[in-house]
Formats: sequence, structure tokens, C-alpha cells
Amino acid sequence: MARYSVLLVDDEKEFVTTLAERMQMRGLEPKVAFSGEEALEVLEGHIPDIILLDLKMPGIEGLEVLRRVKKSHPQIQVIIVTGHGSERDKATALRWGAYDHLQKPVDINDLVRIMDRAFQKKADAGLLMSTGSAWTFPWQFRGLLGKREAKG
Amino acid sequence: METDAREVAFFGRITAAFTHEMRNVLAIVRESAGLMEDLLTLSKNDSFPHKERFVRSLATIEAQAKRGIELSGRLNRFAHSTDEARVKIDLNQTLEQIVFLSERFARLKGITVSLIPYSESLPVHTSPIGLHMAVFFSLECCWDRMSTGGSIALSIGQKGSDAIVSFVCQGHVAVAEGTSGLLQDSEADRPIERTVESLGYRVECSATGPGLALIVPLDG
Repeated sequence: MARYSVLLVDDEKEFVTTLAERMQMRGLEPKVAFSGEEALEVLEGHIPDIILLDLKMPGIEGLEVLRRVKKSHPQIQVIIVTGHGSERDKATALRWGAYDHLQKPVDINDLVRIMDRAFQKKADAGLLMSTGSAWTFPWQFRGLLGKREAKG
Repeated sequence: METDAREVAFFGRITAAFTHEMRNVLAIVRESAGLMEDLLTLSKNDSFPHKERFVRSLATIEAQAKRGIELSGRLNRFAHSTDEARVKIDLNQTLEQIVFLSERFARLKGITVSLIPYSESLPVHTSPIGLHMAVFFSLECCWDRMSTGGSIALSIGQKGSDAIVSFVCQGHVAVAEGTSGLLQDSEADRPIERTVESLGYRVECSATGPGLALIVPLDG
């Protein structure tokens, strides 16, 4: 099973914290940021393998965060997860290097499969430069790790 | 009441924005239900009073959230149909969407509506919201004259530079005396006539049985 770090960026706090908790239960290492600015600050200290990024947020919008991330850290796989995406935004995000563009809500098992593939692509390209291992958690839910592998 | 294109676009813009917010709400509901399901999975060996009912209620929440997501997605697509005055759209996809949006209205009349898709993509350059209105009014013209239990089958054809959407009514259809079909030159038929005329479409009574044919120029 792939182990990687994920940064979730979304101003919908209830959504992003619940999603992070469910990812944690599946053995992933999520960290959350509630705005584009906060996400860029996090990147100064930790470089995740994957970023899940909302598009419409107050302050720096998702597309701008994507542009800056791909410029400064092209090895990070960015997956757009949004309830606001137009076809134009989707085309722009993919053109600017997003790995995928998903509409909220996404089934968590589907999302994890997509993240696994994104991480694998990064690994295949020899781009494993993550400092995400610094993101540690006090517990793991073995039951859901099994569930993830079984569905995987 | 006449509504101009700017008003329609404004209505669509606000509606689309709110459907996005509804998606966020439903996403939170779904993730929260999913978290409870995860916690139940972890404690599967434990039992507590009314666990069965708890599990059943969670399944209901998930199913209804999924239904809400589908509905808000459809409403979002409909709202975005006001984005452009004229644009190239796929007739199969648009009709599938209109049939979905019409189902509730048809159900209240006791009528079912189905679509036989065209064998290939058929692009039409037209007003998306105008096409929605023309097809909806055509359906309404049919089910207003049909008895409960009937059905309307839509199919798509192409003749020269026109696409033809056929509405075939099955079941009892009340055609007024002295008229040749569903269009009866009455006040009730005015919305469809005004709509098709303004779009450069035509609507005709079917020659083969109860029904209508909506003729849509491919490059209108």
C-alpha cells in the first residue's frame, strides 16, 4: 500500500476536516489548509506528495494556487476537488498541470484510488521528494486499512 | 410577461452559484455519514442498542445525499444553459437532460417519457435555453391531451440540414373535433408556437399518429 502525504485545501472546514479524518483512518497522512494563502504557507515548511485543491476560495483562488505550486514544486501532484468547477476551469486546471479534476462530493474509495495512481505516477517519474513523513499521527485504524486494501 | 436575455442569464448565474453551494452542503452530509460508517466498521464486533436502525438510517442519509447531488447537478447544468445565447450543443445530451427535468411534470400527469438516442453525436448550433423550452412545451402539448397511463417516446432523426425530434404518444390522446392533431390553434398552444418561431424552429403534427415533430435547424 502506498504511503504518502496529502494537503487538503478547502475553505469548507466541515468538509475538509471530515475528509481528512477519513483519510487518516485509511493510513494516509493528511494536513488541512482552509485557504490558498494558508496552503502556500504550509508549503514553506512541508512538501506533500499530493494536494487536493478546491477552486473557489476567498483570497487566493485555487487556480492561482495551482499555478504557483506547479511553478515552485512541479513534483507535487495536484488534484482539483471542487463543487464550483466550470468546463473552462477544468480545461485550465488540466492545462496548468493538475493531475485530475473531480466534482464534489467524491466517493472516498474512488478518491483514494485516484490519489494512489497520482502518487504512483510521481514515483515512476522518480520525483519522491516529499517531506510529508514529518506529518505523523498518534493512531491508525487498522480496520479501515484492511477495508481500503480489500476495495483497492 | 416577456423576459430578456440579460434577465435570463442573471437568473441562471445566481441559480448556478446556489447549486454549487448545495453541492458543498451535500458533500459535508455525505462525508459525515461516511465517517459514521467508517466508525461502525471499526467497531463491528461491538453491539449497542438499536444498531440496526442506526445502520439503516445511515444508508438512508447516504442514498438521499446521492439523490440530492444528482438533482443539484441537473439543476446546475440547466442553470448553465443560460450562459451563452447561441452555442453548439449535442442534441442527444441535451434531450437526455430535458427528459430528466420533465419527469416530475410528466409523473404528476401519470405519463412516462423516454428517449431513444440518436446513433451518433448530433451537434446543433442554437440557443440552449430556447431548445429546452421548445422541447418542454412540445412535451406539455402532448401530455395535456393524454390520459393517465400513457407514454411519450422521443426520438431524433436528421433530414438535410435539420434535426427532427419526434414525440410519439402512446395511450389515449384527446384530439379536438375538426383538428388534425395535437396542435389546435388554441391559446394553450401559443407558448410553443411563439417559442419555436423565435428560435427559427418549426413544429408539426405527426403524420403517422398522435404526436409532434419539432424541426430544429442544425446551424440555426
